[in-house]
Parts: sequence; structure tokens; C-alpha cells
Amino acid sequence: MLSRIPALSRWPVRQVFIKQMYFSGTESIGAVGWQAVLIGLVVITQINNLVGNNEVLSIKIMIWTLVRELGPLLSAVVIISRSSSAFASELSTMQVDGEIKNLRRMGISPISYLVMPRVFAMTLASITLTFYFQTIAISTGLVVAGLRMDFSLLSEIYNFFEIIDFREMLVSIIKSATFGILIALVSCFHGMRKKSAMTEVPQAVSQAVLRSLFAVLLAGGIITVVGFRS
Amino acid sequence: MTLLEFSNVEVDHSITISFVLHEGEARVLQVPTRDAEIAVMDLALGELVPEKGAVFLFGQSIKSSKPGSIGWIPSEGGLINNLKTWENITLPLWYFNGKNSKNTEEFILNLLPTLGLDKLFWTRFMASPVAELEVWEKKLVCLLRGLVHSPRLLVVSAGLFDEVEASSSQLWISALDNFVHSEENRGLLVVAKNNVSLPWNII
Repeated sequence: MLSRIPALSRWPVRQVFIKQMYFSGTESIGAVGWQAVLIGLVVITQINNLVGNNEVLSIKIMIWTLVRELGPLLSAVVIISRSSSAFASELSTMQVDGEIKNLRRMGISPISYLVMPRVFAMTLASITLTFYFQTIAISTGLVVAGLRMDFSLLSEIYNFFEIIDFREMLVSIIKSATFGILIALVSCFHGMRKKSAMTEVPQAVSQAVLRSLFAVLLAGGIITVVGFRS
Repeated sequence: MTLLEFSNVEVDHSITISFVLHEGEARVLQVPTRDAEIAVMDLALGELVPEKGAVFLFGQSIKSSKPGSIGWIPSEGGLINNLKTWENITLPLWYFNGKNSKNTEEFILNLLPTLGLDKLFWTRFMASPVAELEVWEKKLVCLLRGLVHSPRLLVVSAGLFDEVEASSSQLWISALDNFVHSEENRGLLVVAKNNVSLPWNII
């Protein structure tokens, strides 16, 4: 896949990349934003119920749940529900209609033209959406905690930047990038697999969604275990 | 110089084909079945590896040739449905040679009158998704894509001219003829199922 990166300099490949960035990233902003507000609200309410009026501990738990786990995971869930199914159905239809073979007949590599820009677009979208999710969810959490527990917002922000460390950010980026790569590869694999009839398209779509989710949960588990060894 | 050579290539488990196509030549290869026609085109395009015999492009193994040096004009279809007509036409050109909108537009605008088309038709036609086009329009897109790509060798299915008005068919044949003779190093191979009446020499 890495050897195909130079193909991004070709205009039609770049066009696919831009379209997929728009579809997987820009068009997911609304869904991820609302989800982040609600998750931030729920998480901080439960944390406050658990630890009471302890500002530092509240923020620490919020970072653990939102930055380490829920941010990358829930962004990946939104991406899977929107883009994984779309990738698999679009590529499956192209496969059944013989369009992938037609690309090869024109000398155009389907991996360079169809798969590589999707993988890069989804990876970039996953990293960006995760950061966006975390920013909104944490902002919501800080505001709600301030209102419920009478914390000063400035003190919360100060404590947040005191507590969060580089490793947390790094693991979050690694997770979201890994999730993006995995979702794109699994979806494209199921889309590109040889099919003889249109009836196989829905099967490919459901397999792509389920296996993407499985891959994300498995990778998330492994990265958490490796990244946060005490 | 040799553009394309089939050396004792077994096609569709039934016929053996040998021929040489040189620069500046436009020739028709007749095969007995539709399957054989597709197989010959796939062999020439490097999509199929011959079980017996060998295919050479520009004097070397087809696998070692530069991608995009052969153009392909199928009888119909061969298009990418999620791209608009204009994107389909420019896909191989811009993929292999880089984007140059102005030159491409100028080239196509010069080509339109030779194909009997006016600018109004062109404007409507180019923005349409290819799925909405009629069969003859899809064939026209395939033809335009091949001509705009301007490769050294064009492999054309003779089915391109089926179900097309005789006057249009003549214009398309002239356009392909012009393509071959506009530069010295070009060639055209038309693959036909059974006997067809085309102005080029039969292999």
C-alpha cells in the first residue's frame, strides 16, 4: 500500500481522495458533534455521581474515558456506520458491473485508484474526527461539571492541561489512525472480492460492517493493553 | 517498428493467432466468437496472459510495457458509472499524463465537429452521469476517451459501430483513421466478431 502513495500525485486519484475525505470526514461532522455532546454529558454526570466534588479526579477519569477510549472508538463507530457500508457497496457494485476489470483494461491499477485514496482519506478522517469528538465531549464535560459542581471553568481547563500527558495524546492518535486504516482495508477487501451477482452485494456490506467493528475492538484492546501498561 | 505482435497465441482454446501490427497501420482482426473477441482484446491489453504463445508490445513482453501506452475502445460500456461523462473521458489521459484542462478542452472542441457534434449537445452531454446516457452516447464516450487519451496503440472492438447510424459510423471511422495517421508511431487494431465491412485491411 505504501508503495502506491506516489499515485496520489495523479489527478484522478487525488480527486477520489478528496471525495472520500469529504464523505468520510466533512459529512460526518454533524453526527460526531452531537454524539460528542451527549457522551460528554453522560460521562461527566456519571463521574460526578461517582467521585462527587473532586475536580481533579473528575477530570482525570474524563481523560481516561474520553481521550483514551471513547473518542477513538465512537468516532470509529460513526465512520463504520457511514463509510464502511458505503465503501463496500460501491466497490462491490463496481466489481459486479465489471468496472474494476475495465480499469485494469485501461492500465489503471484498482489498488492505486480505488483502495489507496480511500485508506488515506479514512485514516485522516478518523484522526481528525477523533480529535473533534474529544474536543467537544471534553468541553461539554467541563461546562456541565462546572455548572453541576460549581467548579471554576478556568481552574478546570488549567487542571485538564496539567493532567493530560503526551502519551495519552499519542496513543489516541495511534488508535484513531489504526482504526481508520483497518476500517478502510476491511471494507475495501469485502468490496473488491470477486462476486458474480448483485445479490452478493448486501452480504459484502454486512460482512464489511461487522468485521470492521470486530477489527476496531480487537485493535483498540491491543493498543490499550500495550500503550497503558503500568 | 512493431507495435503489437501475437506469436502463436491460443485464444479461447480453439484458434491460434499470429500477426504483427506495425507503426502507422490500422488493421482488422476477425475472430469467430464474441468470447474470442474479448479474449484477444484482453490479451492485447495485458489483462490476460496467453496459455500458449506470446504477446509483445513495442517489441517487449507486454508485462514490462509502460502502463497506459495502449488505449481501449470497447463496443459499449467500459465506463465507470460513478463518474460523470467528462470524468470518464479524461480518466486515462489525466491518470497517465497529468491534468491539463485547457489543452484537453481545446482538443475535444476541435474533435467535436469531426464527429458531427455541436457545442450545445456537448455541454449537456459532458455533465451527465454516464448511467443516463443512451447506448450510442456511451459508445461515443468510449470513442472520445480513446481519442483524447491518444496512446500509441488503440485496440477497438468492431461492435463500437453496431447500432449506430451509418452517417455517425462513417464519421467515427474517419476520426479513428485520422488518429492513426496524425502521428507516425501510432497504430490501430480493430477486433471483430465474424465478417465486418470496415475500411481497414484484414489480418
